[in-house]
Amino acid sequence: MSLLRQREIPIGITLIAGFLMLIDYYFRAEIPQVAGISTTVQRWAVIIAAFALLIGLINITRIHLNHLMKRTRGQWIFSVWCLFIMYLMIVVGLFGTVRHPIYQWLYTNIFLPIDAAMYSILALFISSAAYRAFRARNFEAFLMLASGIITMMMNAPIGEIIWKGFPVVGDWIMMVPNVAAQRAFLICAVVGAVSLGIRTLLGMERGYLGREE
Amino acid sequence: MMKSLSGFITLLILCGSVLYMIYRARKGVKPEIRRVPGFDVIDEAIGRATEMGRPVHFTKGLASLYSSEAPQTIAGLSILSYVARKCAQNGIPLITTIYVAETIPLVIQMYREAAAVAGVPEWVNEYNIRYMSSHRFTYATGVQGVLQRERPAASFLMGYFMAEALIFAESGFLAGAMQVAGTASTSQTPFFVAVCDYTLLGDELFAAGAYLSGEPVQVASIAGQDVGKYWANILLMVGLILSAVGSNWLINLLKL
Repeated sequence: MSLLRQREIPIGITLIAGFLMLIDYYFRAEIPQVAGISTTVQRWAVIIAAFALLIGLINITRIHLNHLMKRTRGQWIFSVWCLFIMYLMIVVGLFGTVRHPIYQWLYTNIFLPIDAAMYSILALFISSAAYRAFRARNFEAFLMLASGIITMMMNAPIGEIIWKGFPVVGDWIMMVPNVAAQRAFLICAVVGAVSLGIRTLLGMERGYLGREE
Repeated sequence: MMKSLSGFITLLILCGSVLYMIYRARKGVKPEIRRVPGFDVIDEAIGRATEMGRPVHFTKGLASLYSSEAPQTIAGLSILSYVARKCAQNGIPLITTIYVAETIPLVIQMYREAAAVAGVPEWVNEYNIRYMSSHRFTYATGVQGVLQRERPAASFLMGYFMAEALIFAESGFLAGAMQVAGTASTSQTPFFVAVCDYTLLGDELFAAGAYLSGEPVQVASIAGQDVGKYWANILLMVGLILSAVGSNWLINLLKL
């Protein structure tokens, strides 16, 4: 294994960068010099991530060219379209800027409607997920079903007409049990994230670098 | 004046408890932690895919490696490395769909190491590592397409998700995949709980990498984080009592 592929180097970089950010956050006033270094390191991260988009472009091109060359059934025609539209956007964006009329037309008339369509699919998926989830198979499921119905009626204009108590009970469910559960969830998640951070800084969490054993 | 002295003290308590548990584990005291069904079911889902001869799908959500949600991506990558090794051992394809481009090299390396550990270098197929887009709904469309066309027998959704979470989970359900999800996103957890077979809730996602590693020292760090929860409980109780008597002392102390 070459020197550059050894784990000690990425773990060392993680350790230095992690402690730098911690010192910057807690001791910025006491050690002002660290602020400049921290900002520079964060800029490096953003620049490296921007370069990584090029890797993404190569990845997409390779995968879809492979489909195209193999004439993958039910896929290759979409691969042709994907590559065509992707490179068209890149060329027009690079040579004519993103304010170019062709780029604007492609964005407004192709990208945005598809994007909105994908978002709207969520309404159907929420309905089908709710249909399966909201079945009173046990007491906990019944509580979820009852809470769901009450909060739905609280938000629907007809709810208050049917029973004036829906907004009151619905508001209580949202502000008391819901907020309490969300805060408990959040506290546990933060404690878990800190623990993961400690393991990562100490070089014990190595899963993100692959498993060596 | 140091920024957030209370936050720093809390961090030191957490670090101290995790390090103490690690020290105990190194001394030979085996830590005891509760079983999490979501961890155990990962092997079951991969086994199902092996029996059915269908691929496994993995996606790790939206968070980049330098955002505030990065721990979720780190945790997702740790689980991915375990899943990759198991898939390589069983000889089944693993399709990883990616939103964050800078993780592509990490995922490629993971595939190679998993194949090397399993002794099957030919298992690596870089066409199964698929960058979709860095735009949310384009990524969602791509993942939905993979789930519908390739019909994986198991789908893992581990990391930070937003509105696309339900699109993935429902598409996986329609494709007949056994789904294991994990996120610390409070807004998306209910969708995963409603649709997926198993869900890792909040801190379980962060603990997964250590738990799956099977190393007593790493498992000990999970036991250490429980001390952090006790500390949070103590603060909650004290805050509750002080608020009841009309004191804002603790609230002011804990303000950032």
